[in-house]
Amino acid sequence: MMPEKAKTYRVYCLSTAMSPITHNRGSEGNETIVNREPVMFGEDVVWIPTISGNALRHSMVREPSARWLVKRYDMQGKINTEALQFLFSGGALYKKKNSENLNRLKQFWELFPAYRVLGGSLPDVLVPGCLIAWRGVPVCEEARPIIRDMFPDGIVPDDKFPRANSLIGAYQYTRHDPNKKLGHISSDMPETTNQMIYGGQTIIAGATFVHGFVLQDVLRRELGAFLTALSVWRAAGGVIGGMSSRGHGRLSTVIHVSPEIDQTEVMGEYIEHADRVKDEAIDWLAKEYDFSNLWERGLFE
Amino acid sequence: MSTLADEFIPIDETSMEGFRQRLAGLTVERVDEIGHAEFRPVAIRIILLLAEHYNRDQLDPKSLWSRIESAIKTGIEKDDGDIAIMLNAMLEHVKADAEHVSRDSGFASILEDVMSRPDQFVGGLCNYFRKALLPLITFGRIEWKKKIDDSKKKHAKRKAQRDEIAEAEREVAEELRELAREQKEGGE
Repeated sequence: MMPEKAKTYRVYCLSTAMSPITHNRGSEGNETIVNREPVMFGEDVVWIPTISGNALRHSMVREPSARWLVKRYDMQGKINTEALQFLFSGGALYKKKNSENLNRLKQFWELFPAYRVLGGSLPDVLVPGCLIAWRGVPVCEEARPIIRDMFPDGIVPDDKFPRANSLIGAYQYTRHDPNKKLGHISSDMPETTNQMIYGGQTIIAGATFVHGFVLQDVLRRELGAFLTALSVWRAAGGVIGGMSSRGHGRLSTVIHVSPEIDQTEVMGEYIEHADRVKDEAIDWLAKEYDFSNLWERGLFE
Repeated sequence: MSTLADEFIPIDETSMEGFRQRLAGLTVERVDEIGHAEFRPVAIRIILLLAEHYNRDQLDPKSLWSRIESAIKTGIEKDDGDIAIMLNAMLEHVKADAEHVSRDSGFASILEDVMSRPDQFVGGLCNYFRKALLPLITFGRIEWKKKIDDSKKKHAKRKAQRDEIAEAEREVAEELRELAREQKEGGE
């Protein structure tokens, strides 16, 4: 049988905030400030809210990929910190001697399609990924040239979009001091209250972002791994940015994959592949990250 | 194991045409055309209106500007796109007198001006108040001071004119009295 030909896929995304987004660039006092970037608008420089490609890549792809794999392979409590860091945040080079063993990489790619997409750092070698993440750009008039560049001709309308500054909102919350109401429960009563009011900027609910991913030269199961991650992300609430514990950051996302594929089918191919190579993959990871003693002790049985 | 367990919810897909339609649905008619430069004079006129109708008998005159700040916050919270409702809430907050307000041609002119603008204007104006309230109150206070100074100048000018006229009248009367005296003396 002819080996499968790798293909490049573009995944266009349109995400609408279903609750305020707090993707911040810092804080001023006890007020958080939304991440904004300068763009040219005519002859002016204006600052528009953006979602970094790093945040989108991590929240939508890397973390759900890892979470799914850990669950599917029943690895919870059985891997060490280094393996955990590799799976969830890309890992780090910590061995002094670098390896250039390409066969080992080939084996790694075969066993971990999601990480062929994401790349990362094994203990002794950096592994390039093949995923390009676009920044999340708000659908606003100031970002029109950027949005137009993302899509094929004729997709972006000529009519006006809202202005970027109309997409910025604010929130304010209070952390109550329980002593004010329930002071009788504690044995002592402080002289002053530590009630705190905190707040900051948000990107308002209803704001829509265009973003996307390019998967360069990937196999169907690798595309499947990517789409599986998106599905796991969505099932887990589909949030981006901070304060999800307070209802922030929920996105409603719609995608278009080009060239078109059957999403369910390629996800199925990935899951089937992951199940087939499960033992070999865990074994490989155990050896790579020196937690084979757990494996040998039968903890993976 | 099932290939599509509960842990997955495949992301919704659409065609490129679907993208085009969704993007087209995000366009707006006019509000993006209204810049801050258009909101600023209206906002300052509203602040002057509130300063004008601030009830100094019922409220502490020293709290004028902080009360105006809370009046604006109250008004914009009631924004439903209708300038009349918003201004009513603001004027009530400064305990404006209906008799005075109804006679104020400046108030009527603000209403007419805003009502002739696109529907989204009031929402945009509220957002502008939210984002720039303190600078706007500062600008409003400067304008209010100018207005008071102008009014004082006009008053002083009118007084000077009145004094001048009174002086002229006194001179004329004196002349007339002098003339009458001369005529009387001539007759004798």
